[in-house]
Amino acid sequence: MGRTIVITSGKGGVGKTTTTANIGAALANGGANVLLIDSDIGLRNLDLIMGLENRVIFDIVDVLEGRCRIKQAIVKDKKNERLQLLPASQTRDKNAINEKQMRSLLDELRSSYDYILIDCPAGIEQGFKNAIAGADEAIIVCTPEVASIRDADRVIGLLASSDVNHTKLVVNRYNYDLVKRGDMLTVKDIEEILGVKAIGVIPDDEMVVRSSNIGEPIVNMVRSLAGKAYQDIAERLAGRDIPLNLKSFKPSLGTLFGKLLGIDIKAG
Amino acid sequence: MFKWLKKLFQRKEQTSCQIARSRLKNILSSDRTSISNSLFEKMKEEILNCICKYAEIDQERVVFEINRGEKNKGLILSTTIPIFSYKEPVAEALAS
Repeated sequence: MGRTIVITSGKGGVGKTTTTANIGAALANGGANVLLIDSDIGLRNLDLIMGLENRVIFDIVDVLEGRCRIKQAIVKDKKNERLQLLPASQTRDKNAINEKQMRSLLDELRSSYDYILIDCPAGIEQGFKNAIAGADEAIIVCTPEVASIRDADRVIGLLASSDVNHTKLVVNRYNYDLVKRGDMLTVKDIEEILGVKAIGVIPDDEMVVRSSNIGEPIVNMVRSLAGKAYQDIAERLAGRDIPLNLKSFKPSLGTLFGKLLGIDIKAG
Repeated sequence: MFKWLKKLFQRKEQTSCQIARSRLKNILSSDRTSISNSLFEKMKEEILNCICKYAEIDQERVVFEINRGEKNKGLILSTTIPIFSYKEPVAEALAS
């Protein structure tokens, strides 16, 4: 039976979709069968981040309204067949599906995958309710900023009164230099304020923008600090004990030297 | 010379991170309860008034926080109230 994990945040633009794509890719690279579900109906983006936008034919609403079979709507990743995507609809809205439909869809899919990751839309309305319906676990993504943390706290409160049992935290866009200067909340601060343990911390890494430009997960890009951090999260999810090492966020001498010489780090 | 002395004795300025932390703790405490901010303040005041009957407290360093307990077990109000000294009758009662 697969684990169903919803990736949520409350606030928009903190990196839910990137986190979904990269944890999924890292899990699949490790040999797991992974399905990513984009539940952001009307604002479909996960396919674009994964570089699969040209393969999308049917979407989740087509499946739920009976216009196609699930298998027809699911898109396989370019590099790894174990990584699959059920896209959102771009033309409909959040009210096109409901929680009951979402639950029965997950029940149907659960036995075919090791992990099902659900990319939740921003906000706490119907789209959020759909995304958390049927999920067993949640990963909250937040950045070290007051607005993001306040919204994360609201979502943690809503999850506490739902069927979702395990809530974990990913701190995104962590800037070690700002933290050292006392101008950014530390991971410990955020854990203490929210009362949730961090399963991973993603450094502020310009490779993330590059990766979205070319439609390739960062975990597949060599020498990316963010990629390594996502890789670690996937391993921790799978139950391996990997300590958080925030010091390693400082770029290595090799990377700095490469930058000085203008060497471009190739994808793949 | 004065500037130098002033600098020496002045309390170190708070970092923006420390300000963010205390602002968040405040706003989340009231976000987490369904009662309004002013009602929450009133509750704090009444609790402190009650304590003040028995002890001299350090008003400046009083902390009220609302945190989540275990899943579905509601909220936890925790407070730190630094006490300078007990008032006379209480000190006597404690001594006996």
